[in-house]
Amino acid sequence: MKSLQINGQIRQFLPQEMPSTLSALLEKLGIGATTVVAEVDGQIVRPEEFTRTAVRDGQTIELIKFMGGG
Amino acid sequence: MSLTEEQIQRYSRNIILEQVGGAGQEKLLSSRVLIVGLGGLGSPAALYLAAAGVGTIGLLDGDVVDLTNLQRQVIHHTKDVGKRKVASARSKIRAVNPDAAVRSHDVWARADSIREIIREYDFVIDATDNFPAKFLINDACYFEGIPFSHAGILQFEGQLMTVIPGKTACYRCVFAGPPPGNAGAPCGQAGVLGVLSGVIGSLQATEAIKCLLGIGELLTGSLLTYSALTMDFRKVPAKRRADCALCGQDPTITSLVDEGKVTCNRKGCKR
Amino acid sequence: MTAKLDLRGVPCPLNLVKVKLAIEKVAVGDILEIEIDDGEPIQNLPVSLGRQGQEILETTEQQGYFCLKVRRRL
Ligand SMILES: [Zn+2]
Repeated sequence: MKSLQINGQIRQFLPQEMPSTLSALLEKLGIGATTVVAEVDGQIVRPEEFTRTAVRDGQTIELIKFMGGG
Repeated sequence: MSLTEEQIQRYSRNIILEQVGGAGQEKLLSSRVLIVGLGGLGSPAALYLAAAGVGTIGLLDGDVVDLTNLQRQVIHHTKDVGKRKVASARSKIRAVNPDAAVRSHDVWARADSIREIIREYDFVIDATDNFPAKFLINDACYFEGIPFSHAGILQFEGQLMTVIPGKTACYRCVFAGPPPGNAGAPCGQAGVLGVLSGVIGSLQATEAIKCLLGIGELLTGSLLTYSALTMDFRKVPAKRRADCALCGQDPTITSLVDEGKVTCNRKGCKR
Repeated sequence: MTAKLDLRGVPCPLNLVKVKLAIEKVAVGDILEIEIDDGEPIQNLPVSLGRQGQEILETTEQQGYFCLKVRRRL
């Protein structure tokens, strides 16, 4: 099994189902790619970089929503 | 400046705190905080800052109280529907604490005027309800060097971050700019749990008071996220970005621009 | 320098607030003389002063009230 820590929680993936990029991960989680920025091991990744940002076993990922309400 | 007998009684629970004392209370009374947006976040922030004895409270909002506001905007009462928000909020602040002087700015946050307004204050609370305004306040506070509290809410979740311009990560370090389309837009159809805005707005007031007093550790360099459904508070580290378009090494944003209001095209939404 | 503070008739916790404000006005090392009521006030005051890190030099009982000499330490 491969795993990612997403927003503080461990998610496990079968090796063949492990997403390879941030875009693929968001799709798997059902999160719209324009609704969040991501932080991969402490580095912020902007939406336009999601398709070319690789995701690897053991990484810590934060998905931070755009929240415009007040 | 010395505290009157009435002030000693009114602020006794502040003064007795080791980190506040009489000197701290006098500092609050001589401090000026601007609240931009008198909605869900601005309502509790204004009431708590007034109660705490912040001497000057600026209110900036060009809107009118609407019946749909009352579910979360607790500074406005049923009888205020139809009134200017700044006038409605001003009367409650004065009723809570006559020590709080109120400066009303019955306008929308705009690029051509916001800098002149915010430079009169020691701390700014971003309690606005749209992305263009949030980025405008971030940029204006950066150019004027005024610390501020960012917050946003959506449905059952909220986020919060304090920014010391030029020293700690800014809103653009995390979110480069408004999201494409209407993602995360504060649409009436998305809904929001009223009490959520009370939690987050109260946290913004907490940060303002800490910053004014110079006590504790500010919520800088990390974004606090809160989920009302799971009761999870999480701090996500947010470092300054060298390539931030505003506060990075080679900035491309060097003056204020209005990003234009986000409009919602969802069916039945008035925004 | 010795400053004086008469807190007879001032209830808790307002008396503690007044002590705190008075101590802020005394220089570190100087003494504040406090007159305070018997009962709850005299029970609470030493605890409050201890929490603030101040030193009680002397406590004398008068008729129905107490007189404390406190040295500002912090
Ligand atoms: Zn920045």
